[in-house]
Amino acid sequence: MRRIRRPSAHTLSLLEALSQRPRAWQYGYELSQITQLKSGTLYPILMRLSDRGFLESRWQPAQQPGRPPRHVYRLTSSGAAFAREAFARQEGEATRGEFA
Amino acid sequence: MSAQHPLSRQVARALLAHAARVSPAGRRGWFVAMASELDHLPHGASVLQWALGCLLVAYTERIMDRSLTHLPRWLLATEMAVCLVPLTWLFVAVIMVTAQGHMTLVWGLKYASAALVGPLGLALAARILFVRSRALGRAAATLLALLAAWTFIAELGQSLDTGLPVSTWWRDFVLIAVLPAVAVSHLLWINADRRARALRAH
Repeated sequence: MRRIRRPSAHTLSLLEALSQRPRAWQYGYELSQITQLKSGTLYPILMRLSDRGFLESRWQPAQQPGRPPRHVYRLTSSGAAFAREAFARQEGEATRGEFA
Repeated sequence: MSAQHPLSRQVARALLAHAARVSPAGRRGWFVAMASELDHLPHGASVLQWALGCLLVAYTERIMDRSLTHLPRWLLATEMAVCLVPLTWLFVAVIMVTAQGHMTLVWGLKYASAALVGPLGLALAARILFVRSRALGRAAATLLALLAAWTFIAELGQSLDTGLPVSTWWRDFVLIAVLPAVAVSHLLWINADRRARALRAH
């Protein structure tokens, strides 16, 4: 069975942002604003999630004329399952911490 | 400098164009995406900070990509030979000395186990470097890592146990413990990268 590495706090924050609107396509800058992650942190996480099949992306025409199309992102179904598992694990650890 | 394209945006755009150029080919699309996102950043957003972050990502991806798989095979083979041949000689010497009865079997086995990572590492390095389609399994990789750790700990323990100053034993320590550890770490890194690529390909 393939081992899934425990996601970092930054990854969790991004997964949370993507999970809040699971069917919506979100822009890189928008995700950066929600998660407070800088581009240098955000994009490597997006790349790794995409490599693992947890993220899908596509080009979307710009809403304002004269601007280039934008790359948009959302979780795949396996990405959503991965996010749920990560949140459950995080919650479990927090609960264990409270009663330790 | 125009009002529509202030200097900071022009510099940011140039940085992102550079980022796209230095990024690995497989990642280039991401940098095109970052560059196009730049044009949608609102006024007042720190476009330079955004672009510098992206540039950092480009160089990091380039280093990660090149350091593992794009080193020439002859260079990796030389690295493995330099790092693992001394310990392989030690392994052979221990076996011979033990076979001739100059060392007890128990000590012979201890020394041989501590030097085993030399010949085993060389064999696995040859397999990794020259049989490109094959990656080591998890068991073999774990065994190699454990042997390298054992060699390091055993040699360090023995060196410290002599009570002599570090200046008298550090060279042996580098040859017997540090260089093999470096070689094994690099091999396992290459192997992990190969396994990850194979998984992605499926």
